[in-house]
Amino acid sequence: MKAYISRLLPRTFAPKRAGSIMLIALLLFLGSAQMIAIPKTNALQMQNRSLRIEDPTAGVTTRYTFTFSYADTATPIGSLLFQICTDPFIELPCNAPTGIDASGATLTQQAGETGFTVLARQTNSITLSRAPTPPVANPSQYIFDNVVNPTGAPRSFYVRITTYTSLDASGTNVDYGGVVNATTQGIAVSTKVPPILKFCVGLVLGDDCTTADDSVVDLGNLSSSHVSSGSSQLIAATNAQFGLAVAMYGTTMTSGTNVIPALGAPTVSAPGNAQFGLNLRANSDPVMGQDPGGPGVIIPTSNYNAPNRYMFQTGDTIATSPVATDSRKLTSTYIVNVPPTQSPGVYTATLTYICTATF
Amino acid sequence: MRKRARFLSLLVALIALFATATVHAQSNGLGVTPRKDFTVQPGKSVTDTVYLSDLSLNQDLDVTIRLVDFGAKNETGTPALQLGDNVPQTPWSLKPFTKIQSTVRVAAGKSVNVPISVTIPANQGAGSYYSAIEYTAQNTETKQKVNISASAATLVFVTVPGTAKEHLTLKQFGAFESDNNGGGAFKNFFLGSTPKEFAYRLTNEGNVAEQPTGSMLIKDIFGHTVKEIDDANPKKQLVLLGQTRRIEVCTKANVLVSKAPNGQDSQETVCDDPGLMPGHYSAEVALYYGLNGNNTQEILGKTSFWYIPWWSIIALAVAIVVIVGLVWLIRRAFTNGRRRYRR
Repeated sequence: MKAYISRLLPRTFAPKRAGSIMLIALLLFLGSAQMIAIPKTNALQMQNRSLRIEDPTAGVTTRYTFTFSYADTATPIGSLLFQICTDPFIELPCNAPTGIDASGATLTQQAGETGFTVLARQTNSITLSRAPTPPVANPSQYIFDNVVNPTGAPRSFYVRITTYTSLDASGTNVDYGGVVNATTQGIAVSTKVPPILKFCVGLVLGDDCTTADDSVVDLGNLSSSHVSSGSSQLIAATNAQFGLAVAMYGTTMTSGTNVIPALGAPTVSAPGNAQFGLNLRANSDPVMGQDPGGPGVIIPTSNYNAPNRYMFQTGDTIATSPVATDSRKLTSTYIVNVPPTQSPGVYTATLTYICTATF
Repeated sequence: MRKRARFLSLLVALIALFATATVHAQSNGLGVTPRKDFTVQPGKSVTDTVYLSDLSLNQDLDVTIRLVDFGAKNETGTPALQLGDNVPQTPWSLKPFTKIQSTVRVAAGKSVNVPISVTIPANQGAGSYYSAIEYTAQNTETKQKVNISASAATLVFVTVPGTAKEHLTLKQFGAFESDNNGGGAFKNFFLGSTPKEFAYRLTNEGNVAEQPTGSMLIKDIFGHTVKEIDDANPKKQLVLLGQTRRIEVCTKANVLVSKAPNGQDSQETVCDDPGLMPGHYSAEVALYYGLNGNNTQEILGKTSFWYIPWWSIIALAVAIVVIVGLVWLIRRAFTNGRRRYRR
């Protein structure tokens, strides 16, 4: 017996060869599995599909008008299925959007391919039936009254439309098409706190904007031997879901036609050189500024988020929050350096911080 | 007479001093409506108000109001305001259709509702029109200083219904790794953690600012759906006219609710580990868009990625070594047995 088994084993069997064989087997297995994974479907996609909702307000009873063109005009069609779902994928179970109700829907008009009657109505589906005939009249339109829109906050939903040769939407579908629409704000949610964007700037702010009434940052006398610096603070917050962005517009320090050039990239302070810039971090050179603080999620953009590195570019977005955010305080540190050759004068810079919602 | 002159000059000096002392004492804190969306039929008007509050409890707020056009700043949802004096009006500008007052004063700690009206001419084409209402706190400039002022804006979007050109093109779709600066990179090989985000880039070549919606599926190597992402645009982000927009979505979103110091609930969505096993995956996204009543437009995208964490490579290597070792031991045992049998 042992001799028989040993004959079956290869004459030379090294561990190296075993590893190679297993690796090849694994790759072959993955390759064949990948081929199996490619989905196949024979259903054609309907063209020029649309859904018009007479009144898209959440929760109201209204009229749904479906328009589309049948793709397969050779196969007889005996039934149509409209499924109202939270996602468009036909291969997944259809979950009904909250509040949708098509159980009282009535087919009030049909055009193009006609002869359908309502076979079945459920909360989120309507089945139409007729004697099977090939659909040759394109486009076709089906109008349903007494459909109750999804309730709650405005949201998108999908209607999966499928055609069948059978009379009751059973068997394999012939055509498939999805349409999308969305509800708008209804009365039921109008009592919610309206979106608001809060923004303030000042020299020294508390935890909120109630003391935001300073507008001048004094940088003292400019000198080629040391950096001149100052700071201001800003607070922003919003309950809007889109978040916010703070941008900065203005000019570098000027005195008539004399200009102190702004730093075009994050740069360290270098006394004796012409520099104007700012950042939003706690710095050690010069010792000034604070890191962002507060419960919000606003963060400075990368160019203004490096300690001891300063820049100024009008129109730059200096801080953002991609979502609704509670108050967050940011401290701007301004630095000015001048060379010994800088023309004397009274230098001024004017900056406007603009806070907007994002979209 | 001299006394009166002295009194008058003293009075003037006091007024001047008072004026100088209060010139900077203006509120620099605003609360505004962040965004307004209207649907206006051609030939019709809509009237509404925008909220404006003075957040300072000590100083009144003097505000200048103006309409400014905006576009998109790169691929994000950050508006790029066009603030220059001689900037040409954008094709989608609401300026010609909108009326709003140019100044307003709000008492300290109070709020006002500023009326706004939008009138769309009867011959205006269907599509999206948008501009921003900019509110700037008025402060007097001072020499030898940096003068700062606060400004906030309301983004106003108007949809004019009708047959419009709606055309989004999918530029890129894939697993995504975002950085902390609003950027990131598409990847199809993950060695560290599972892909926590997907992203797609859409270019808008139509004249409607689109808010695509849709769903996403992640399938394993056998084609089984292992993850379904119901909402492929959870933040309801817009693709503005001419913009290429990157929209990101968490593979597994987790909403963290916390209590802010002011007592309000604060929500933050974080992308959690979706818990995928090592292997090769494919992902499909189906995106839909279209104005109510217009044709529904559909975009389909497919991508694939590998998730092979280091621990799985080590585990596989150990498994191979063990199997090869076992085979070698068995082989040696049989070889020894055969030798003994021959003897």
